[in-house]
Amino acid sequence: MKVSKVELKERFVHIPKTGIYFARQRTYDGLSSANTHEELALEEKRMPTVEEFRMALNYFRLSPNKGLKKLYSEITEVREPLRACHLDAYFRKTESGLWLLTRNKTKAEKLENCLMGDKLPGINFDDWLSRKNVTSQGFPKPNISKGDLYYFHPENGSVAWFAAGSAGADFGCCKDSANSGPDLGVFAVVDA
Amino acid sequence: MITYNDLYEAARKERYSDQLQQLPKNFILEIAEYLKEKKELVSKDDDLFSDMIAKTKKQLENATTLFKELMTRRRKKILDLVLIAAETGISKQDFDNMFSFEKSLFEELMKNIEGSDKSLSEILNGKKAETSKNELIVFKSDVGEFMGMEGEKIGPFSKGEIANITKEVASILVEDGKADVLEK
Repeated sequence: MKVSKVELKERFVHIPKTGIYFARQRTYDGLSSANTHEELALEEKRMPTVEEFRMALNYFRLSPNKGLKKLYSEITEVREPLRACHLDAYFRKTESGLWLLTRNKTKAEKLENCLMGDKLPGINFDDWLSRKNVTSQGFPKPNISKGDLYYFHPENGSVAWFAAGSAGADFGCCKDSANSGPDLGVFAVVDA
Repeated sequence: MITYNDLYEAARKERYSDQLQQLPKNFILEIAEYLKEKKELVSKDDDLFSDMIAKTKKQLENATTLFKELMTRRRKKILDLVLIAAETGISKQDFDNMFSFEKSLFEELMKNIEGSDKSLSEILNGKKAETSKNELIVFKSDVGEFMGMEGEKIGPFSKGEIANITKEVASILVEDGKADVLEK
């Protein structure tokens, strides 16, 4: 089922320079990463990659539009309840190193040199959003400044998430792919 | 000494992992110490450090929330493990990752499941529930000491007294008009 123009206009935001539309609302709460991919594919939507998610957040943060500012707060604000979303990044270790698999594990690329240790806290959220010391795949480089965003480094066989709750916000890459919960959903994207 | 960030890490890793996480054996004690220390700090009434106290208060609230989240999530995983263990057994690692009080919870729940399975199996195999051999009666008049069916001494009983005695003896007393059955 192709996404209609009306749906795109009402429920998505076009993110400049990315070629994607980003959903205004989180959907498919309570599904695992794999099941979320399947459900999205049925609607010709997909999960955002880490870099797409980072670019969308940065766009919302800098936008003068009140609705987009609100969406930015909805995703990132440190407050109750916990709000988490899946990101399209699966990590697989081979003899040649750690690989990043996206598009529901159909596209593989070598993970660029990024921060491979947890930062609790954290990495500098502003630097991450403004792509200062960030890889082209959207991951913080080892020299990224310290900050408040809790960071969990990529681990073999894991997937990525972004979450914010009363205790803090975190970007993690060590989630079990089968993991799910009512606080975990997806901000779908549609290719322009 | 445990820090807020250690607790954050534990809570998040428990949240996003399907396996029960291994935590240091003294984790709970250290959390108790951490919370006690923070509570003492926020209870101080000192204007000079009011900003620090407010910050600590917020951190204490967050730490309490994180700790509750962590323990609730662990309990949910243990309940899932009980169901899995009842069918297929439990891995050594899962069991080793439990705190001692979690192991007790797990073992008690397993015992209950085994008991429940045994009862179910007995019903399915046609064993009838045990029926009581005794009956509760109330005496309508004074009754002196007498011998039971197997020669044992019974009584004496006063009018209005309640006794739990064998059905055979109870029926004789009821037929003689000396007692009434209290309940069926």
